[in-house]
Amino acid sequence: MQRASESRVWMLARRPLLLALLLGCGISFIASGRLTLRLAADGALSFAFLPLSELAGFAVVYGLRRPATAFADAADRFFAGNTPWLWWLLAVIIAAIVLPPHRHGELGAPLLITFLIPTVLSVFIDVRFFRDLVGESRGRARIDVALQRLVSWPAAFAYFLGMASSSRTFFYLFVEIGDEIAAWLTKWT
Amino acid sequence: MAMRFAGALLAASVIIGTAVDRAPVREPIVLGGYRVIAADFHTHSSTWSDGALTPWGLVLEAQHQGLDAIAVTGHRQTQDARWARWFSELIGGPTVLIGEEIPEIPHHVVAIGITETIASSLDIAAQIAEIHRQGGVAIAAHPGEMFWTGFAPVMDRLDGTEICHPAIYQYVGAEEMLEQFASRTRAAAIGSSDFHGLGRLGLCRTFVFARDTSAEAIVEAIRARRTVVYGREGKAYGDAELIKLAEADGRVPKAARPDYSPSAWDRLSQLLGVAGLIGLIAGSRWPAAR
Repeated sequence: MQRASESRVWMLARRPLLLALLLGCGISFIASGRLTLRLAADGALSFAFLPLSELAGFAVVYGLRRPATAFADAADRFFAGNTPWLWWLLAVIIAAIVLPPHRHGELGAPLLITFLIPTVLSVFIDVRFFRDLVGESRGRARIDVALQRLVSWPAAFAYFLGMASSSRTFFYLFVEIGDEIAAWLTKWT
Repeated sequence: MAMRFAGALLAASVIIGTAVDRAPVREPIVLGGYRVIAADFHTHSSTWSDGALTPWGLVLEAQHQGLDAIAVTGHRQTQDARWARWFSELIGGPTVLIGEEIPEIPHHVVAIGITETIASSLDIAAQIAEIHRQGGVAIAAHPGEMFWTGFAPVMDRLDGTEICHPAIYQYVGAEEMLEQFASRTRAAAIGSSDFHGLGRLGLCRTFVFARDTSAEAIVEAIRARRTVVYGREGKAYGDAELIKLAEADGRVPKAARPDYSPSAWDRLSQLLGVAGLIGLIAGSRWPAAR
């Protein structure tokens, strides 16, 4: 009985932990050029809000749909949809290792542009996941994905940007992102 | 089995990386009767200021990057700076100044040496008056052309201006813009990394000629414009006499260019770490739920 409960906990935690591990290792490599316990642990702690907010969003949808699959198993399968994000993060880490630190700023625009790839891919994966999980229509699965994102993304943004995310400066962020991409494109054209 | 192998590679990478991760041992530099403090006055933590390290992580990283002082400058809040200062005092780390970045449109002001959060609803003149009332100094953060109109009413009241910022390596013309802005003020030259995670903490740094290592002495030195900054290709900014002193001595320009070239052990750690992560991602096809 206890063994089954332990395996449920592991099932629930393993993929969020993998994401946190990758984020921690990434921060360590990017900030210092090497993988250290000090920076990896600090980076994983700093970005723990990402898997947690994802899980919170999923829990809301799970609670509404009440599928037959146990929560831990369902969450495990849901987090498997993060695979495009994990490969993207790895690509970012490798780019940061290759570039000298004073040129890391050049990664900004490419990151913002390529960010779209895992974003779009994960939507397709998650729509399929919700269809399989509850056996629902594609339209309803899309609503579930939107709902999950509506809960998790604002929560993550609110934590990450914190006090700076007043409505005025928050929307100005998008202007700055546009400027960043425009400056990068100008440089290359 | 494959996952265990990947985990072992990652563990080996962490062990090697941690073993070579030593804070540099440095002798204090005293020039012209002043203690020369290597400082980074614009850093962000992961507690609500879109940084990548916790406040205490910033303190440890500052030690490893050879910094004597940092200002933790959260967006519109000073709580993370207080945590960083508490932790640094606990471990005998670098001097931590309580700071804040006030990110308004169209100006970003870095306030350091303050005691309370500055209300961002104030206009820029009132913000700077409040910073001064609290005993702090106001620094123009990355004052590119888009911020010039915002700073126009307070050019004579700025205590410092960022002349070295990672943007100079990133954007064509950024270095000239910061130089032009600085030439219109009497503000102290400041070098700051605006560290959010990319680059390095202290990539751009300020050498402050202070009476001692306390936060008060550092703020006083900025107010008195006793700073030297080295930009691209070792270009020096700041007090002309202090630049001469620093050049004659040689240790300050050397400390301004930390060696980021990876050692053979770093390369091995990188190789093993990336291989381990590839293995973990590729192998993470754990049994599907029933």
